[in-house]
Amino acid sequence: MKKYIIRRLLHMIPVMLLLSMIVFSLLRLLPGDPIFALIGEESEGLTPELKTQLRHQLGLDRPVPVQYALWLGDVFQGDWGRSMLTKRPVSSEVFNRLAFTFQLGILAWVFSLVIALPAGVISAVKRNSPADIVVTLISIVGIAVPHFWLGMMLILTFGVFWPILPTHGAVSLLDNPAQGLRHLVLPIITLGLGLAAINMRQTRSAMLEVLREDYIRTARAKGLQERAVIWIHAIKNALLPVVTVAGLQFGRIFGGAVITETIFSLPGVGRLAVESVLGRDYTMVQMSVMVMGLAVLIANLVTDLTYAYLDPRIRYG
Amino acid sequence: MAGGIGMQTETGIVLERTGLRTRLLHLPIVDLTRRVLRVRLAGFAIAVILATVLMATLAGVVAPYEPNKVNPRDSLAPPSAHNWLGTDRLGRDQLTRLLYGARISLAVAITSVVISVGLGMVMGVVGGYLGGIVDDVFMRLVDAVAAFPSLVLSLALVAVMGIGLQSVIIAIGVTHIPFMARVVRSQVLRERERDYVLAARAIGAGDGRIMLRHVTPNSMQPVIVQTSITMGYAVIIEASLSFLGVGIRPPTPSWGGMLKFAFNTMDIAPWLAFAPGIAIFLLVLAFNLLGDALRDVLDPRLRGAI
Repeated sequence: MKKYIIRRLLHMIPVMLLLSMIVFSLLRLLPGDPIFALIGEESEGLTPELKTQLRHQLGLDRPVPVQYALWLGDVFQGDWGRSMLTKRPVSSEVFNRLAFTFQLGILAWVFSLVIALPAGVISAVKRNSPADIVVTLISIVGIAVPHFWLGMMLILTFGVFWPILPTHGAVSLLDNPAQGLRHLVLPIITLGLGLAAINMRQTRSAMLEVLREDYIRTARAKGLQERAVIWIHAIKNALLPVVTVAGLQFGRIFGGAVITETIFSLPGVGRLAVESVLGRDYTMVQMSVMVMGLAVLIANLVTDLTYAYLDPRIRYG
Repeated sequence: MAGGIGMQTETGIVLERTGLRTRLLHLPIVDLTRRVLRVRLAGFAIAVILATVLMATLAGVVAPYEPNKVNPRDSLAPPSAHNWLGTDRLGRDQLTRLLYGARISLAVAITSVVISVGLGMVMGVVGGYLGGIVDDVFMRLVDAVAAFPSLVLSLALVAVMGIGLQSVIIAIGVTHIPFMARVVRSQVLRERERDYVLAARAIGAGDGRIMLRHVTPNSMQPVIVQTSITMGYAVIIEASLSFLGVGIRPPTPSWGGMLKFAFNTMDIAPWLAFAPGIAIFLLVLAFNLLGDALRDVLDPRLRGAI
């Protein structure tokens, strides 16, 4: 196991470096003067001499690989640059917003599993029954519905036609848990339904596969009741991969968060990214994108390690 | 003897006729379509895609109004005989814009998938076939790009390249290269061990020729499946970017852009929020179902597995 962990960690290093290069080049690829990209509109009033001096100070006159190394050094030391709009360090803003997105994402993820696991199991056990057809339909539809339209329909239903739930803004879960949750109901459904659809499909196919296994036949042959076969033998074996593989959905959660947070005006990192793109706050775009990419990489690593820990076949495979 | 020849000729003619018909029916594309159509819901998927293609091509002929004609007096008119789907805040006819919007969705889906398939196949085939350091570099790059949620990376790329159709196409195309590259690579890893590759090498074919003429055509099946599913993703991401205001530049009609407009007036004109959403949903659903059907036909081992 130790060997596997070390191998996976070593494997992460080049990927993280490449990821940081992609993010670094985002700012350098901007058309026009990089001084503009780093300082913003104030740079337009500067004299050529001052610009040369600034370029020197910012290290822009050095070779690009050196610039990248310096930038990476700063990032490692926690200096992620300053917002071009507010002039404040981007790191505090990005990390605050990230905390909210995590909270929303985890709740949506739990919501999706709570729906998907029982639904997937039922539809596999009662294959071709009306319940199976309904679950399959929901999972097909859930994958194809765009997040933003689902969110709009929910706002229309529960905010306009039948106004029982808040559709705007967030309340801290720590200060006022009840109100905080009420504000999160619609965002959680918006973000979680697509995840639920995927998890349902996966649970169903994992269960169907397990139900074909020899040990299930053995359990039935030795006279166990069907309920015991399903609960004791099948579910345990089918859900392990489903739950761990569901950990690989972090990317999907961030992608969905961009839309969900924008529609419901929530203070997460996804909406921050959209606002920064619209406000041409490139340092903020750079950092929010980098943080989301890194979070996905780390989540995937943790998922892989958990899976390997739970299923020894992976480690030695 | 003569009768015998006549018989032969007769049989010959008959054979030739069936031959032509069989040949037609067994053209790869006809054959594939026939087999796909036998899968449940595949007919529906193809019908939706064809309907969207018709909307896009005939928009200029059948649309009742000009797509960008502003008409303040008709602002936010509900559906009526004049405007079947109502009008938006600027008084523009929704049905007309819906028809024209199909052009953007299809254009983005098709062109961006060309980028992802093209570059993804090059990376998958070359990396998978050659292995070693080339493969390592390609796959780490793929891992790095795939770590970004596709909408987030598209957003960042559009931020750099500027808002507009071209940026949207490139951004969506680039973000989907990793999926294509992985699918192709895993197929190539299997194909390169086959006897026909060994045979080709034995008669002196070089790596380039083996990759291009032998391995690539034999690795196409998963690409076809993935292409359909990727087109669905492309439709959703284009619509999402346009909805966020960083996609297709207004006033060009796009379904996502129409929903952005509808979102701002949803409490007074809720009818605007339906048609473009349903159109996006149906088109994405169709591409997904078609992808599933293609997978069922091309790789029967996976039938019903996912």
